[in-house]
Amino acid sequence: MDVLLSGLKYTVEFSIIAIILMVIIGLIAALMRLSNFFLFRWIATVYVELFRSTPLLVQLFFIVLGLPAILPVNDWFGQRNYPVIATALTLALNEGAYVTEIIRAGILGIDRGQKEAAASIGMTKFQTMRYIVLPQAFKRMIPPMVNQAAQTIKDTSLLAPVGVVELLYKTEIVVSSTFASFKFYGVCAILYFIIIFAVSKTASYLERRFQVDKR
Amino acid sequence: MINVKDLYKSFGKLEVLKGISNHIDEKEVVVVIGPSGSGKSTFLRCLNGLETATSGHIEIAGMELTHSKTKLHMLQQKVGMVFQQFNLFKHLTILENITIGPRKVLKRTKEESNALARELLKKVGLSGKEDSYPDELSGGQQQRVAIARALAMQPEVMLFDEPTSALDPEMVGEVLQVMKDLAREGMTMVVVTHEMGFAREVGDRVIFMDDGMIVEEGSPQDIFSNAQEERTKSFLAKIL
Ligand SMILES: Nc1ncnc2c1ncn2[C@@H]1O[C@H](COP(=O)(O)OP(=O)(O)OP(=O)(O)O)[C@@H](O)[C@H]1O
Ligand SMILES: [Mg+2]
Repeated sequence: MDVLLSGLKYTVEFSIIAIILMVIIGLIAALMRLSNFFLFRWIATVYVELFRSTPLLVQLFFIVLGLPAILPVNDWFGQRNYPVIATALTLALNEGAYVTEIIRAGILGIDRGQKEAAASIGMTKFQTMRYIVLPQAFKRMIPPMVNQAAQTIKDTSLLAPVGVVELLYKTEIVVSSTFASFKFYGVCAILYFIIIFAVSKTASYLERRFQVDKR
Repeated sequence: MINVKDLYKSFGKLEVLKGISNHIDEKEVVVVIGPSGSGKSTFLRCLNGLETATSGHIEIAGMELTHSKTKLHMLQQKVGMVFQQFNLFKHLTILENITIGPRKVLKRTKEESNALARELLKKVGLSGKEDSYPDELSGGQQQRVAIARALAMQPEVMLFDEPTSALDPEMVGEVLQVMKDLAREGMTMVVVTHEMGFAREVGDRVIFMDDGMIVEEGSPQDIFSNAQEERTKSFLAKIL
């Protein structure tokens, strides 16, 4: 049980880091996809398509286990650190591709008149994004973002095969030594359920409060 | 104040403005009329850079609107615009709608901006609505807030694109009243509207546009009672 709980700790840590990173990556990539500069658009589109059309597990194997074979990444980040950094980053990049599309859709959903009104009082493009478009888009993005965050937490279970210690991996260790698979995988599932349930409940609570305050 | 020379604008293959030239003086109130699709909105939107002209030359509020987009926002600070659909910022209160320009664009203090906004709200007859949100107001009230929002930037010119045509008839008067007050205070205004009463009362000049060109222009008296061009006459016959 202690082993499972320490796995739980890793799962939560990984999830938090990956979720924060995925939002940052998604925001940057979404703005790049919407930019007028073709190179930015192109880079962001390639990124999104690449990560959305290959399985996460393959991405993990490729980046965490494959890259060190062709690049001296272990020297750059350290033998022990590289897998951890690479795993968190791959997860964030993968989920970030979906977040990019969520944010992009949120931004595109804002009425063109809002942007024109902002331009008509002399706002720069940046100010228009910052003060007019993003605050309105943000509200629409909450529900799909929460889904994506829950997905990210679930996807941490895929980290097991690449050897980063987290909840499912810990469970596998326990299971292979005790053979009580039903019980332990069951506990593992329940722990995942608790985390994700808590996340979506908190989010829908926040969403409701947000709407009362800010209409 | 405004100088337009050989203005052309196409959307893809569709040529919408076909060589517009005009000069508008300081404090002049110009009313633009014309059938749907004649390019009135496009003309107005070119004047404050919301659309980029295909070719031609525009000078407005002491600045040149060339084809490059640089410093466009500087020009837009001096040219106010009021839209048919109001376009108030939905997530901001009425007070914030008016203060966001002065605060974020002109970098005024909060106190200064709030005081200015309250003064403007009083002017458009909406004191007490500071903390409401746009969707709690009627169309006429929203449009008056939109005028206040534009005025908060202390523009040198105000452009109006059919400001009353999305309104219920009983709300048209209150918005026109605010615009008339503004005209009498000496604001330079270009107004696309079919409100002939407004044109007669405060308009210095009426421009009739058709098919991307200025067909005829003159004093309201000249245009409404003594139009020379066939196209003007037949258009007026339909709307009067
Ligand atoms: N962004 C755009 N893309 C393509 N075509 C456009 C665009 N904006 C306007 N047009 C076309 O340009 C023409 C002139 O439009 P404009 O809105 O300037 O006319 P208008 O005189 O304001 O008409 P209305 O009285 O209906 O408002 C129309 O045929 C319209 O379909
Ligand atoms: Mg129009």
